[in-house]
Amino acid sequence: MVDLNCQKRRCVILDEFIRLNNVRKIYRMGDEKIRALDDVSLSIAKREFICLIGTSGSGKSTLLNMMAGLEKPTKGEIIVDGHHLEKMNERQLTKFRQLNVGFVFQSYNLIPTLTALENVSLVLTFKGVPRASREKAAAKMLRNVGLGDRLHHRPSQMSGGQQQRVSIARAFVSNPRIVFADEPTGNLDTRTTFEVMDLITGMAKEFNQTLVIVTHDVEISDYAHKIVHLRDGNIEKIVVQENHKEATE
Amino acid sequence: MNNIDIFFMGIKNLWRRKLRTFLTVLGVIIGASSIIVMLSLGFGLSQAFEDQISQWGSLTTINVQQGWSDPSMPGGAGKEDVKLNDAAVVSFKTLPHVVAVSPTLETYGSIINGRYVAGVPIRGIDPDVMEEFGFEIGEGRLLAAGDELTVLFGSDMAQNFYDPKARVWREPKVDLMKDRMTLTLNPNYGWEDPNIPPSEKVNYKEYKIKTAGILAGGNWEHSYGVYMPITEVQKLMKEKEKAENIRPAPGQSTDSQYQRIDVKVDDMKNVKDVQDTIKSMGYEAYSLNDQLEAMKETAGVIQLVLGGIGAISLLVAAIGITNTMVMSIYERTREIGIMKVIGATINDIKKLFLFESALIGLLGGIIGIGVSYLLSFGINHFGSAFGNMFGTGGETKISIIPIWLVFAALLFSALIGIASGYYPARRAMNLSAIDAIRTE
Repeated sequence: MVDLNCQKRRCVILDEFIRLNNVRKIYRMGDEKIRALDDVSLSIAKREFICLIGTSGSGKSTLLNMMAGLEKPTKGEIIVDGHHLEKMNERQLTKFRQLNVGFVFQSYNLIPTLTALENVSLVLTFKGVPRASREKAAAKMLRNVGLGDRLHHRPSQMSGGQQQRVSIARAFVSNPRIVFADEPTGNLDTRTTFEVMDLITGMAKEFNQTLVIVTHDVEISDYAHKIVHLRDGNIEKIVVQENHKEATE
Repeated sequence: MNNIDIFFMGIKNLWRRKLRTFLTVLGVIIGASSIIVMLSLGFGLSQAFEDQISQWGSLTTINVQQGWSDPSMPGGAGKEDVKLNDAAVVSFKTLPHVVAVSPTLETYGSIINGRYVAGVPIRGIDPDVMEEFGFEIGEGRLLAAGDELTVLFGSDMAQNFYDPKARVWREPKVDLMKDRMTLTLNPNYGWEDPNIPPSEKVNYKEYKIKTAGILAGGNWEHSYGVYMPITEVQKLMKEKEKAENIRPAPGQSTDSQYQRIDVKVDDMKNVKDVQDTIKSMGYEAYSLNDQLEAMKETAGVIQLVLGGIGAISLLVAAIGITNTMVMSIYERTREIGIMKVIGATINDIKKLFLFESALIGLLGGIIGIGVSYLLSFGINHFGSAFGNMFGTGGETKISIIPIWLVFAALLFSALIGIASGYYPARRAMNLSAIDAIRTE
């Protein structure tokens, strides 16, 4: 157990990378207000692997989206590498995501009309990487995730596990500093779940990336350095795992 | 994102929805070609007017005549009359855009060719500037400076000869190039009034004349009458005055005065300026350009109406583009969201959508131009009956597509595409990435 007081007193952790200060998020559904996050303060170090765990409606996905600059807090500060995300406009946020963030979704979110190779290299296309070098990098990344023989398949021609691997390759291909994964194994069976988790954690470690995963699967949280339990929009407890599970090679 | 990547991605997206893209492009084709064809009819009409007027004479010639002052007008009475003399010729020559100036003197006489006679206006002109004034030779040669008693016939002069003794008119058998002819300034030649006593009879001289040539047809101004160097005409007129025993009226200078001075301007667009300048000098100036301006104005109005009709269909096509792009955004909401999350900037999204709509516009424009040329060809080929209705005759094209219109149409259709795509592109830009991804 780590002391929650440290979070509340905003003490500086060595190598702090992401910092949330009293973040609140309220959604409006017609006349009704839904408080997704109440008052969340959190600090994440570089190269740390954080797991956000909680029941549905606990606000874990909202928290993830905010750290990725996809949503803005109603109140509070989100500081990533010294940049205040809550003060950025849409233009700056897209640039920030382009440079810093990789994403893995539960529903893969691949573009159905593009092949695996095109889906992965699309990230580099937005970065302005020339065609030849981005396709080379994308192919290499797909081979890393074990899809060397599926380069020119469309998502509809692949299994769920394969699609998620494409999505992992896509998240890592631009070598982002943070990788966010929202229930990456939610649609997968147990065996594939471990394969995918091994891949994600292994790659994050290899490339020295910070990794934030949202899940409600306790088995997945075994991999994490730190487990953040969320309940009704607040941090319930933070568990530090000294003996966390390592990716099996 | 590189422009080349946007280019290929845009083409791919359009290709993915072939039918819809085709139908939208078809709308632009119809819009673009209807506006081009309508405008081309207007250009044809204005060209027809121009051709028609240029048959009456040169469009770049200004005829200057003696100014007359109206004493009843304020400032008119005291104004000194300007004279059409050599000084005026020199002053016109110095005006900008003037390429040639020719004084004109006209008198009337008869040409006798065997038993045939023709009453003709005899015009004296400056032989040096004949080419500038658009005299085109049909047979023989133009006048030269040293020509004495040499005439140049108007293109239709042969038909003006008649036999005074014949009871019915017959086609005159004359060869203007070879026949021996004489010229007299007697205005009543062949119609001698027997009641005039012989003592009062004027003895007009008869001159043997040589033919320099016959003018080419096609210009009504040059079809009738004969031309001689102006110095020759001056000489003939003096001799006529002497024969008629007329002395110059008291007070009138004996300076050689001209009846008219023709001023040739380098380009049609400068005619009006030069004409105004000459008018401000106190002369009366007249040109066919005056009529052309009025007719062109009419053609312009007709063209505006026709173009307006065409513009309506282009407007409908533009709405079609917007509709297609909005639909496309609905379909691609999720895709746009994914692209935004994985690093597409909003500029990339905007450019992509604007490029797609611009491409629809441009494609429609390009094909529309092709269709317009086909339609234009068809109208010109089969529509001569239609043309006669306008009174333009068969020679002038009814539909003319100037080359600038082609480029303007290309540019315009691309701009229409961009304008129509602007609203959808903004929508796509402002889509919330997270909401878009949640869309299933």
